[in-house]
Amino acid sequence: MKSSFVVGLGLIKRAALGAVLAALLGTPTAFAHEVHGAHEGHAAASPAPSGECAKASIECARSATPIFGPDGMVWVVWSHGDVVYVSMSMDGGESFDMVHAATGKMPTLDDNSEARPRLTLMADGSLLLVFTQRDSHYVGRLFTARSTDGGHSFSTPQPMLGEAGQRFGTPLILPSGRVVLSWLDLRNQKAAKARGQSYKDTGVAVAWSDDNGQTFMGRSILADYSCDCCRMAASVTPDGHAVFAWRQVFDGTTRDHAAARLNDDGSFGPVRRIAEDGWKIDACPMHGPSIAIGPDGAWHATWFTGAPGKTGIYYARSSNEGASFSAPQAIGNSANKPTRPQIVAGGGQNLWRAWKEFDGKVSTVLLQHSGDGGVHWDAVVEGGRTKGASDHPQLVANGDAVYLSWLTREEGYRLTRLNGSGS
Amino acid sequence: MRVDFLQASRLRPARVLGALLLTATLGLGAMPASAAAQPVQPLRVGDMPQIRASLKGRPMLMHVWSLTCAPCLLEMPLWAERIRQHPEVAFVFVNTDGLRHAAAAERRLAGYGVRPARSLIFADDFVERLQYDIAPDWVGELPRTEWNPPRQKTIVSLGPVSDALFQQWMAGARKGAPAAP
Repeated sequence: MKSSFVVGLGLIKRAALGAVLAALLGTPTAFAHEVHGAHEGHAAASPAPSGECAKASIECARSATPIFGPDGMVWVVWSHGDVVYVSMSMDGGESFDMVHAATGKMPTLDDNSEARPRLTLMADGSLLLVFTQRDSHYVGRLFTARSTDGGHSFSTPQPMLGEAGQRFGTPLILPSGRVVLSWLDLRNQKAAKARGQSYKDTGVAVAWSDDNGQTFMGRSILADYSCDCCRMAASVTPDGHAVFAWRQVFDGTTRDHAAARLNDDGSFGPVRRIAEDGWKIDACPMHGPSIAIGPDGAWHATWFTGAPGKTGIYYARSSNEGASFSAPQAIGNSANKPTRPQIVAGGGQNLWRAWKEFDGKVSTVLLQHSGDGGVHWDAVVEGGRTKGASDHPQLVANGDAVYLSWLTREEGYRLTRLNGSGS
Repeated sequence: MRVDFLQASRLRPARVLGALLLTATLGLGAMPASAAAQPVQPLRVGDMPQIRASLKGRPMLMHVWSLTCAPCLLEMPLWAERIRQHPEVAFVFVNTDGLRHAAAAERRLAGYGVRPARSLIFADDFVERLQYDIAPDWVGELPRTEWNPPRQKTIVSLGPVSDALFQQWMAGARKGAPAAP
């Protein structure tokens, strides 16, 4: 790692209360309110009754996820109190001067660090928001909403399907301008049960849009028996294809990981097994994988397993589109319970991986860089630490620039560039 | 062992599971008849040692669950029955969804007739710390059940607890219990 410097500290909190009021008072279809004038002193009416954060500001959010646009634009999507917000920076993340409510109140929003609202920049400059709302039975329903004014206002959220039974919407923009959206889907489980057959898991469903998220095609389940409680991951191949990774239930018992490439006709290529961890467990790990694809087409995956004797996080790579993967390489200090691994590709053969460790008092984000496509990894460096609640770390690329995004309760939102501006 | 067998057959877990499979995983259909909801109490950082201490001397079974965990909901009818049948055991249920989901958690437990000795809910966003308080090596998989008989080794099970395993635990506790005065 050549250099590491913070380019932006979240200055979002002072603006957030106004956004809440906007959400509550605004029309149900759009919430376009600049909140420059709001003050931090307008704390939430009722103090937090416990260790849960009651203020409607990013510092009280459970997740925050950035995307980059042209000319220094950065949007960060987060949620609080069943409302999705978008914070905006026009100086590359140095300052976030505007917060807009992107939705009205959407009880009950699926918003923890695994199930986060997601934002994607479309080819025409519009924004696509993807999130999941749980119904009164806590069954998820996937929604999308669009913004054609740079995130100032969003359209009324539209359900992806006519029935509930979706979670973990994962959007990905392709070089062609097509946006693909994957999620975990209960339809085949319901159908199997209606036939009296056993089916405890979910399916991996994919939809795509060629009109910047206005209408979606596909929406079919392309693979069966995914673990229903672990989020998915996605990346793009150099030739413009989407690759998804998820936790798959193999043989009805074993919760290891799989990946597949999406073909042009909307079908999956072969579903590839990333590793034979052999975690036989009939439980919810609530711990999804991460995947990154380098400019050479190599697939790089990180994941968590609790398989006996192997509990921890791992990395493996494939140079043949998943037909075979390198032997899993353990990451992090096993004494400090490493979790939530992320991986991202920068330019050339550069890769970064990030994860979280917890020693009982302090959560630490750790980082590792590889300059040779994952064959060798530089020494582990610390990306941040906190003594309170925190989101899972996120790694995000903007061209060849790679950033660590981390939201902590005590320090606020931080967007840290990991490689020099010249590289 | 005869007693265990009779208890096991009365539970008829397969039939209960079959009938409630759809309800539990999809949340569809009518809930079982519900009693008045038992309030869930906030579980804050640092509370766990005191909770354990307050139950010292009794066999304690701690079951950690979430509203979004299908295997957790699937076995709730079994837990309702196990709690009714084993008043000698201190059942502690811990929900991980956070205080804002307290009402939903209460409704869900009441719907299944699950009335543990203590019903708690994560009340701090510092989830890693609450998990650590429950067990330093736990990463958050659910359901997690900890069987803690006095003067015996603690046993942890991730995933549903089969009826055979549960009866084995209960039998072990009886063997390990002090003789009646």
